[in-house]
Amino acid sequence: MRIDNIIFYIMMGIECLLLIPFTLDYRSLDKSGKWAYYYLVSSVVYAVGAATLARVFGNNLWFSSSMDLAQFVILSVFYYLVIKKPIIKTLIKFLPIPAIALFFIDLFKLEGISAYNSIFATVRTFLLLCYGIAFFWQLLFDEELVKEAVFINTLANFWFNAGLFIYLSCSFMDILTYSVFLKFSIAEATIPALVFISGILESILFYIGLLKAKKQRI
Amino acid sequence: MNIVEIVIMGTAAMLLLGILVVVLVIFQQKQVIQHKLALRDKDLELQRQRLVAVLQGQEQERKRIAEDLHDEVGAQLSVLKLNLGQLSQHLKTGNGEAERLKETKEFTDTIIQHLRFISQSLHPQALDNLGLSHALDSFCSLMNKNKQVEIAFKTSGNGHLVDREKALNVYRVVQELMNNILKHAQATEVLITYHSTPSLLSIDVEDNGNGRLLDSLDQSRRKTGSLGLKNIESRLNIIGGSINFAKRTPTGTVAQIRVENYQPAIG
Repeated sequence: MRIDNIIFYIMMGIECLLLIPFTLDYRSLDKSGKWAYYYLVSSVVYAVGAATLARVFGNNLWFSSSMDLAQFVILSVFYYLVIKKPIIKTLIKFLPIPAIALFFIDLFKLEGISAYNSIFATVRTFLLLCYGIAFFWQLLFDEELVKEAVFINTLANFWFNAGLFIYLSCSFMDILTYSVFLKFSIAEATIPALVFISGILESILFYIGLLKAKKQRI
Repeated sequence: MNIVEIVIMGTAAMLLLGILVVVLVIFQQKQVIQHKLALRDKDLELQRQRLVAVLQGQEQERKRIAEDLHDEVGAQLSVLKLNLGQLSQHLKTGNGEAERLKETKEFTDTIIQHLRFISQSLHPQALDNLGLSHALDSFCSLMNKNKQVEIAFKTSGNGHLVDREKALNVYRVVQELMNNILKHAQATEVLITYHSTPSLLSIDVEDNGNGRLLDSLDQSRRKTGSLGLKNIESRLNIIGGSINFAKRTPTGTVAQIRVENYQPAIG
């Protein structure tokens, strides 16, 4: 088994395990925390579904694209809830509409159903990275936090965003070039291995976020 | 370097960049908060210094007025009383002038007494000359003359010197408490206990009133914007003291004033 496959299964195992404490402590999560939980559930479905489909049908790319869209919608809700600036909130509210349109155009017209939809996935990852940066920016200059002397590393949403940001940053290059690699049948193990490592980091940061959410509730 | 190596390096760089951003965000926010806290501390210190300056200015003005009243008006009234005394000796007719003169003399006496009380309230001379314990004792005696409440003073101090500024602030706090007891507590007896050890000055002000001293202080602040409690807290804050209100059995309130390191600095 290739190294990237091993790391993928480790990542999937960690995500499945992480679902247990998240499900048990679901009540301690706030509204945005609950959407982070839904993202985690979708990640598990994504990982398990992609692995199963690849084994059964050999091609799971349409499933990957659909899950990318589903996760984009979930994360858009998450960022809509955590970001305070009205103009960014409005953008987050309406951007899924052109994004969904782009998804269908890419799926049926540009790259096709049996290819990896790099265009949509890249745009979606770029948008999510922008949301992540906007949230970091908000936390840095949040007057309320400064007034109350609240360090951001005590906030659950910061850790959820940190996990997402690291994973999305790392997967950006992979997503951008994946369809080209598939086209030329370049079987490269290091890039997916790095992406799965960032996925593991994401899970760890999500777990820290859960611990902070529990503390915040107390 | 081929395209695959570039993408690998790019992915690794993005991963590191992502981690770096998260770490930087944490450190930056910590720095922002520490900077703001430092600014807030400076601001509080500045406010404290301003408050001290205002209170010092107030005290100086009170002292000046008290001295003017005592030295000028008081002296003139004493001369008036003396003249009235001499005049009564020379009065021969018996048409009730002697009684009227006697009344005027008594009235002058009352004015002199009131003047002394006002002057003493404005600036306790005893505080400068005899120290806090004696100043409080004389304040109690003065209050006993003018009010219906019986005020007792008990001291178990062994003459530790109190820093002048701290003494004045404690004196004002006791004065403010007494004013509030007289106004709101409906007490008939008040006991002021003074106790000092080398490191701690304790003054307890007990009253046998309705036990609503603290409530009344708090209420009057909310209703009328009165600064009674705020004044007490500010003054004690400046000198590093504290005040605690407790219920007294069977009735009334005990206000406990504590000031640490109250002695004047040596050298």
